[in-house]
Amino acid sequence: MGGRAIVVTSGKGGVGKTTATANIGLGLARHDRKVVMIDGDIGLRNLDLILGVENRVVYNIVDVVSGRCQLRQALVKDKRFSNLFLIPASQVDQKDAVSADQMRELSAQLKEEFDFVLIDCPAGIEQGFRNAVAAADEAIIVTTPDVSPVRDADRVIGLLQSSLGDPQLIINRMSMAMVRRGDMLDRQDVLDILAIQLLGIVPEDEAVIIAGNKGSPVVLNGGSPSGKAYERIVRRMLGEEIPIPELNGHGGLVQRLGKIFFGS
Amino acid sequence: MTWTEIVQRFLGGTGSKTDAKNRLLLVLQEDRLGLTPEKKEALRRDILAAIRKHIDIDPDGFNMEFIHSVEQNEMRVSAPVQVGRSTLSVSK
Repeated sequence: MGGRAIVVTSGKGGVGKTTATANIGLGLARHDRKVVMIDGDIGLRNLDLILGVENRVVYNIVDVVSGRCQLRQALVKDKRFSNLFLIPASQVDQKDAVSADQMRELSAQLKEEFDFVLIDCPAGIEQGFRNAVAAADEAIIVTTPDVSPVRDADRVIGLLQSSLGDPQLIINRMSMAMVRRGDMLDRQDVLDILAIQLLGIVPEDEAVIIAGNKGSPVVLNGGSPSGKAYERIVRRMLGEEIPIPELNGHGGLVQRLGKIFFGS
Repeated sequence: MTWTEIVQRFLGGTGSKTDAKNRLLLVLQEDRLGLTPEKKEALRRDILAAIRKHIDIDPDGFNMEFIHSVEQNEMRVSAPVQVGRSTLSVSK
């Protein structure tokens, strides 16, 4: 029985794909799954940095597919979990240094050994995207509740439809205060528009920046709202039925009205 | 303005998410249909020509628009029909 190969993609850059991949990978590993993450962003390597394993990188994905090293040698072992590995992207090669067939083959090989193969997709819908998608059986779409990421997410969902099953959605950087004021698309708005299944909502949280600074993803910080959100996402991926908290906050709205009228 | 919108304004918001949603629904339907402005114009011309082959309509009053909402997507075509003789309307 092989593992699950999942691509984390978005279309738009900067919405949190790499952060999501890192947190999901770590979260799954903490739940004792054997996990390998592939940084699919050749030329713009970052997953190693977010994970805090940048000092351990020796070989990369281009070395593997071109036969410059064994697959085993390119697996960077995480310092926190012995069942978590990373295949880094190359920082110097071109985007087309790897082909879709090579990615497919690599993923098939990894699935024999790992429970989860997580592929961090580059932004855009060009070769790097096609490679990452070719290697996957499932997709997680990351978007923020802004017009351009949502539009790009819709485009990506359309492109995935023919090759992968129904993708799942993570809405990242949701600001509850802005949702309450009616200045941010809420979960129902985004779902009305994209019409796919929701995997989770990650609130806007300064802890994500701090986690990036330290190379210690928020899922390891159980106290942060974003860390808790990623933990719930991971458990849903493992089949647990965990409701997605109603972050739209009509209760909050009433409370704030109360404050305004009664000063309490 | 709905009650929610009034409350949102009161909280210092502008309710701009409604703009976001409506604009997205519009561009996404066009994206999904692959409907470029050129294609839209070609479709408009073809429909107009097809109707005029059978009945007399005023091309200036011809209108084709796409209506998008969460519930449904609709293409609406309207055209004033020229029946030729004003006597068809009820005379005084």
